Amino acid sequence: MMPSPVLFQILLALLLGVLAGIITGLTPGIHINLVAVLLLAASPVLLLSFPVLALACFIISMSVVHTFLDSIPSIFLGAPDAATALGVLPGHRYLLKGWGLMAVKLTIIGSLGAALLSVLLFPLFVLIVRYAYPFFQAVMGWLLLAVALFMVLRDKKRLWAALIFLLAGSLGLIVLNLPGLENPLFPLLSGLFGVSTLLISLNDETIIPPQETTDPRIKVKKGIAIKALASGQFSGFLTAMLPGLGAATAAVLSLQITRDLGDHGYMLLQGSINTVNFILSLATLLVLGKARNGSIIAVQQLVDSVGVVHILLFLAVTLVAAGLGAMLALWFGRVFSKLISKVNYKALVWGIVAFLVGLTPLLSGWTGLLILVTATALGVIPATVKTARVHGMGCILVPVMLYFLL
Amino acid sequence: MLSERVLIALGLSVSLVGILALCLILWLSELPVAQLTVVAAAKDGEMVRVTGLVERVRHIKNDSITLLTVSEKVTRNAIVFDAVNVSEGMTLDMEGEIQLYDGEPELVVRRLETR
Repeated sequence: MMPSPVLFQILLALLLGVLAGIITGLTPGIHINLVAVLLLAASPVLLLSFPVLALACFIISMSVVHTFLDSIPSIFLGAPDAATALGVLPGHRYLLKGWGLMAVKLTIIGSLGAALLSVLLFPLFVLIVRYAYPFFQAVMGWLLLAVALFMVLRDKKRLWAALIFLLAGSLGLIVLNLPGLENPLFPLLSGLFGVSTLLISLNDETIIPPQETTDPRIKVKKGIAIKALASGQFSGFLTAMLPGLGAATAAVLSLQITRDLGDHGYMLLQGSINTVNFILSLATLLVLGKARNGSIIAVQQLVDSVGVVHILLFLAVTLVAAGLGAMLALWFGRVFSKLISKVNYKALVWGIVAFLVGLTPLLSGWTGLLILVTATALGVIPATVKTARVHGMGCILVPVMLYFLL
Repeated sequence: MLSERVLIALGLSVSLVGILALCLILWLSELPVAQLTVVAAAKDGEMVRVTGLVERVRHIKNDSITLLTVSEKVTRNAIVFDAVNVSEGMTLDMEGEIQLYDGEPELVVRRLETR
């Protein structure tokens, strides 16, 4: 059997996708959707040298690698003061104890386990999507409303939670309906969850301790690992089925079923959700012809009619990218662990804030900058009043909910 | 439970399995090369892969469409919705969908390689 030239083109595109995934995964604010849009714009030229399938494989491998690496900046950046460590995200708790690499390793195990499970269970998910989606579709708006109410009512500070959710929802409604605004999600999400978190960490006297860089052998009870991976599949399934539902919201929902995961279990879950979400969005693309994220929209626009052979090819690319993503995440996790206590943390955070602020007018114009400032102001509130940041996801949940209800 | 060495080995294994699966899928899904006569006999919408000698090239609509006349033992028309750099005398390997145009079957080229 002669190796097909298409195989080489696909492998090359896959490797380039891995490189792009490293950049999007490690750079806060640079999302895969942005690269996918740029690729679509350049596709008339690229298609002269690459087949359509290779471009689609580039997007798939970039997206998968991104899900392995995006936990690294979220663990190593934005950590608050150690004195308030009990109220912070588990990833930051590991960092403040000097166990940043262990946290990265847990998310890698979660992502890799999730990738393998999702590929193995893919036929089952296809069947579930085929037969369950009509039911979900009929009550989609009400389901999202129930999720929103649940998220607010479970919070100890319900009034603040409701206020943040509604303000974020109103902001989302305005931003997503602004005529002529490009990349509206960039300033919106960067402000609510990126710049605001970074600014809060600057306000605290954050001291990052030297990180443990020897091979951290992690002891996770089998039961916890199985529960975390099962929760990841469930959460990823929810995000793939319910538009507007983010990974953090899905994690909160699935934690209601599988309680007491502990920090190790939570990190496994966190690592798995985005990977599962991406792989299962291939199932919704195959069965429903609906794209659930920007990358899949780009794939859909490139490949006219996605069939079973395309999906099998994408799943194979997913496996290659997942394996490479795991090794890369481990390597970058070690590099970050060595550097984080040596670099000037405040200067690093200011640098990232300046990068995000500088990028906003380029991607979304001056209106985008106004949105970034507004969203940042709103994003600061949850940390100030000590409630969950996840209520900020109202910025997407409310517009989607209203689309289905009205 | 899991050392880094085990994790790296797992990552490598998963990548290798993916590459093998990729080769297998591409090999099994490749269309066999058919005679040009299938263009006339194929149904509307059917995918075919053919090889032929370029007899005539025309670029229309600001080079956004390329019209080809290719021959083997018979001559057939093909259309590429792009400006492609081919010239008469070249042998092409083309993959695409049969579509009826003015009642005549025509190959709408999706993939094109020169030999």
